[in-house]
Amino acid sequence: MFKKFFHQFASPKTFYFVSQKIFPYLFWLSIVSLIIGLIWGILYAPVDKVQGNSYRIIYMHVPASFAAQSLYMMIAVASFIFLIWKVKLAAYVVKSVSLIGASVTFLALISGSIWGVPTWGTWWQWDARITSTLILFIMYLGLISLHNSFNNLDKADKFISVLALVGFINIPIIKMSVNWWSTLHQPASITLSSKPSIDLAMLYPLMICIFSFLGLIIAIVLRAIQYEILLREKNKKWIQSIS
Amino acid sequence: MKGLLQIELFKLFKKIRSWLGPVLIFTLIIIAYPLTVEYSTSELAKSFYSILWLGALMTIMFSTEDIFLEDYLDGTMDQYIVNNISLPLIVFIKIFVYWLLIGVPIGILSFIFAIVFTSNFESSLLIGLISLVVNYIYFAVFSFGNSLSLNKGSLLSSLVCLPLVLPILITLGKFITALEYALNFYSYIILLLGVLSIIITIIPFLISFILKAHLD
Amino acid sequence: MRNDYVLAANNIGYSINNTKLFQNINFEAKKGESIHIKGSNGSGKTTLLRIIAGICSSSNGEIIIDEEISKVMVGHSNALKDYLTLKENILMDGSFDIKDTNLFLESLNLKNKLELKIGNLSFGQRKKASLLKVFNNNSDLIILDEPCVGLDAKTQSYLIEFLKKELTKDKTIVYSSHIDMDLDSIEVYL
Repeated sequence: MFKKFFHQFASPKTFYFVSQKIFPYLFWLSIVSLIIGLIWGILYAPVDKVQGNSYRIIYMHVPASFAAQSLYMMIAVASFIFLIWKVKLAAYVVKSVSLIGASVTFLALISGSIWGVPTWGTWWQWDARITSTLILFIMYLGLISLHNSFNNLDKADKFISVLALVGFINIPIIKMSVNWWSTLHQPASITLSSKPSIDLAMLYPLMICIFSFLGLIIAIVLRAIQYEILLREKNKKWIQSIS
Repeated sequence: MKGLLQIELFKLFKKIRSWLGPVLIFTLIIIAYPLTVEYSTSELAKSFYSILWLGALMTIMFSTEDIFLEDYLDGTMDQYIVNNISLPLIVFIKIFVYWLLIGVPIGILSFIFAIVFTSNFESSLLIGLISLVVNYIYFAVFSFGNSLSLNKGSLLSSLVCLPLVLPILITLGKFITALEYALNFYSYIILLLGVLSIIITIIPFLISFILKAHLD
Repeated sequence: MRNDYVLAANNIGYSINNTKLFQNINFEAKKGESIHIKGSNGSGKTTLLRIIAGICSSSNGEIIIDEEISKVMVGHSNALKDYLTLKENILMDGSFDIKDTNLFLESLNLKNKLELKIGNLSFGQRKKASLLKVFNNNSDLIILDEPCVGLDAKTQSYLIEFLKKELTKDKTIVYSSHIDMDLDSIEVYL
């Protein structure tokens, strides 16, 4: 019984129609709450004691990094499912999410740099979190370019799944080792998103921004997966009956 | 297996460009290094080890460029499968042979250069040994990268694998610091040996999975 | 093994990117039989031969082949190293000491080319060199992909005579060829 449920989920056709239904709600809800969260955070949240008004970039930076990491988790799980159970839909997920993940990580890096200028006076720092975000970006780029270099898409799926899993193991290792490295040097004196110690008045809009941004990104991901399904399964009858 | 080892060794040995080239490039980097800094011994010593490690890393990354490509293109890999030769074994032997003809000379040269720069026999010996261990890891990781982008024959995936070896570089840095301040450096050696043992066992199977998928 | 078949194919199909190359291919071969795979250019003959050899895997269906039988295959690529001499290539193959090797080398007109690098041989000579493993073999299953390409008439008839003899020794041959090799084979159309 569980197998039947699982098989149903794994069908691209079911996925296509279910996400077609979900998309409008998810998309508009996320956009509206994101706008609310941003306006609240940028205009109404209190001024920070240490950083002044420049801290407000976290309302874009933190959602972006959170989304970047969640998307990579999604890719890692999908790769695992594809390699072990050979579910084709999982491979479509890995392929379509890589591009979106790369863009979101890029956003996180840029916003982090912009935050760095007034806060530490530099565009870049080699601490654990920033370095592992950069590595995450490189991994996403690697996935995209690897898939694009193949004509045979079934082969390409296998390879990016392997690369994604290897990267998944690697990113915590990089984070640990850079942490380990920076204990020798001057540790970063300011933690980037000190969630427990942040003022509640700043925390609420931040949480709204994080989750609504994630919702928005997932809506975009659904669209991308639908596109991938259309592209790959274009010979199937159910697609020809839609168009 | 002994026969396979001899065959692969012979094949690489005859392709002189493939192994002598990287070794000479490494030598050139280390020899050219003093020319780039103001000549005073303290200036030299500061970045010497970095140049040593990075030179080895880059040389090995470029030298694994066609470790599997040649066999894939000329049909030798097909023959391995037809003759029921275990693909992980071949991968392991190839990496081992590349390490033997490129990694070991680089290790010996690291030892020699370290003596020249620091005049300390024991630490140079340790540096040479660590270099041997670390070179094998580089070969394994970059061969993995090479096997991913086999059909394009480019360095693309090897570049993507560069982040995979960053923790190794960090460990090497800590090792040198421990060595210089006469702290306990054995833990770093054990760490690197641990990584080596994991890599030796996993990489051949991973790469042979990828190669089989390429041939499909 | 089912009865005494050496090689059997059940509903083999192959597709790339959801477009089918060939499908529903069935055939069986016993010892001493040969199969000729026929089809127009691009119909998948090489792919089918590689599936039989175990290099590729089919998209559907299965090949049933006895695990213990030994195979030899000569495909489009020569599996010879350009930078090594002919003699070194043969030595690596492990078959130089077989007593008939010299005989084959003479018949193929390669005896005086032993010290030349493969890169310096002509196309036909390289093809003959790659066929050496077929002559030297003792395998039960011989897989050939367009073996006559590049061979002169004398070598072609020499090869065909050799294959006929192998068939009488209870070997099985699977091949593709645009030239009729007159081996009395079962024909499979793609």
